[in-house]
Amino acid sequence: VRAAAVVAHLDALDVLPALRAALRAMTAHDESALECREHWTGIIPGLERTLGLDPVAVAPFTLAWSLMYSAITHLDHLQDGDLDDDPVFRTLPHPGIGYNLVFAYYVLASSLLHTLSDQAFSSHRTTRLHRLWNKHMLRMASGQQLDLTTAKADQSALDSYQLIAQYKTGATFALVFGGLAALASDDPDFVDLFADVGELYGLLLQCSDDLRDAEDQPNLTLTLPHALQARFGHTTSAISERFWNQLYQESSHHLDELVTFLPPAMQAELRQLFVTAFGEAATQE
Amino acid sequence: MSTNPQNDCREKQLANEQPSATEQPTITRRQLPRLAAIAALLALDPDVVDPNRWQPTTTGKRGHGKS
Repeated sequence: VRAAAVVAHLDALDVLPALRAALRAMTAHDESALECREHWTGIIPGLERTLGLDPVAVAPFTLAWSLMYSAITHLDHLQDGDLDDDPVFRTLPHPGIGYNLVFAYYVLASSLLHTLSDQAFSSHRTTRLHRLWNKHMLRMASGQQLDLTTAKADQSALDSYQLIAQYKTGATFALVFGGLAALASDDPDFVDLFADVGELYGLLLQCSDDLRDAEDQPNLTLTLPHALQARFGHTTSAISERFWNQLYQESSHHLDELVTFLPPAMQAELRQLFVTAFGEAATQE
Repeated sequence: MSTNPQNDCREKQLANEQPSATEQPTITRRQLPRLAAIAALLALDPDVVDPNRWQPTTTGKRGHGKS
């Protein structure tokens, strides 16, 4: 259904056949790939429920966000020269074609925002959504820039890693949390609050993925295990486990503070999104 | 308010303009937990400083973001 909606949108656009065919192929591939990335897109139904949003009405935004996330994943593969696991780009004659496809794919994603219904959402809300999109996409790109230009291991590696994780993954989730809130409410503080919760969610997701996939991390990127190695001189499962427990515990307190002024039911639903993704926080030892 | 009629006109235009589509990025209002501070806290733990001392704990869970 997701791919069909994107293809229908694509077919109405004035693009030459070669690009249309390539974007169709990417969309079809990414729909199946997204099913394996439940930890990304699984957050959307929960947020829709929490905010009382109609999934059909907000689909242009959630589709745009999902497609954008696929686009930046392809971009990661291109920038890391990691095309073996990317069937869409593996057979391209040269990487330049891949960069053009990623660019077009991103524009296709953002153009879906224009298909939000005027009847369902005021222009005030959709304008705010567009601003939020550009704001967090620029933040995401600045995190990527830092990632690509940062030495892997020095004494400030944890601070660098935090900026990268917050500005890459954090901003991406700030966008989906804040964007859905922007479609649900005219209150800018409410939107900012959801964006902040999303940024915390993204930071945790990046840290937990890095710690769990320590063995498989590409050498080109500064990861949390690299940063911990730089800080402690060694990495062990003990450090990883205790670091995660402490981080998650502090993050849970931070979440509690963020959501204090929300209705209790909404607070509970937001906390449950974190528990579903990361489990219960460790108790204080 | 400017005394120049042209500037007055421009101020009215600015007041009526739609917000820019490329809003300047702003710093997150609330500081998220700082990873370096957590590491500093762990550095006080002898089990972490000396990995040979470490015994597995049973509290807490690692994150499992990916299915």
